[in-house]
Amino acid sequence: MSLIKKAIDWGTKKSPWIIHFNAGACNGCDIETIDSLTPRYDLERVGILKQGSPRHADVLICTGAVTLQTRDRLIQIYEQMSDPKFVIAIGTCACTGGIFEDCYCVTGGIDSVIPVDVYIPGCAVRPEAIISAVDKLLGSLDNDKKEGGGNYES
Amino acid sequence: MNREEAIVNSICGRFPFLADRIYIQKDKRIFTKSLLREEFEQVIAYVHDELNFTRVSHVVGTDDGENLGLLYIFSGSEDILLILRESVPKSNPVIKSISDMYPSIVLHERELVDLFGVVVEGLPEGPHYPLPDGWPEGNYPMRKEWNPKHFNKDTMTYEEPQEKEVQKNE
Ligand code: SF4
Repeated sequence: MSLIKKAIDWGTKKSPWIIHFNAGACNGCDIETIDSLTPRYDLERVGILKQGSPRHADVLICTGAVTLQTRDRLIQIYEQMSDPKFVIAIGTCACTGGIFEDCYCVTGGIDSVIPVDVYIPGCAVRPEAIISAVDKLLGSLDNDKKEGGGNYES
Repeated sequence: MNREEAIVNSICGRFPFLADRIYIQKDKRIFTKSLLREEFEQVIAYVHDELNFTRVSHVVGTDDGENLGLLYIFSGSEDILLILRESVPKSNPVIKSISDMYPSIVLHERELVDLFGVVVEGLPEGPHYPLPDGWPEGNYPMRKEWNPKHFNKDTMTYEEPQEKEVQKNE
């Protein structure tokens, strides 16, 4: 493993930067996501930082079912992120489509468009669940490497 | 005579044909039964200019098979809601835009255009709302006969299965 890759891995685990994308949520999950970043839960104190641009982010936090209007935008944002990148689906809608499944303009959950690493069910999810999910995601990186993963250079 | 009755009386005084089609459902709620387009246009001008119902809060679309129903909810300076219903035949669903009196209704009228296929005369040209860009012409998802199961979201085409047509012919 090259030195640069080691540094990237360390940096990603120590301080993952996130970007939040609303693919068609009712805003319930968005409120909870913002709640987990604001002072009451304050994810920032452990190094998790919200970014304005997908090019600076490691983790894409998606809420809501994917609609036909946001489908192409979601793919664009995902492709703009640099490797290694991870996706967290927040809320029942983002996991499966939820109550909006089979609607005339909904394609389904986030995984109908892009690969998802962590699913958090709940309507709406609690901020504690979001924190726990980010924690699990970072923990899983170590396990992943033991199994031979981490070859994300594309 | 309470406030609701005063409003009903003043509308009936002006439009006698409404007398058996307007009713007070409960406190602060005045409904009409379905009006034809010409009746609706007269009533709405009167309600806006004389009775001071200057806000429109909702427009609801319905589909009973042959006719499209439109339900406009108005409010004014008092806490009374006036609910006017209009009915247009599905074969020729043309209504007149009331955006000259109620500018905020443009968004609702666009929804009627997209979801029910209503033709709104006098509505300025604009993008699809709320349907996505590239939505095929002639598909109105809130109409009864439109089935989301037959809509292919990848190619954006609507195809009815063959057997259904055979059943219709019989
Ligand atoms: S899971 Fe519930 S709260 Fe979250 S976007 Fe869907 S409906 Fe809204």
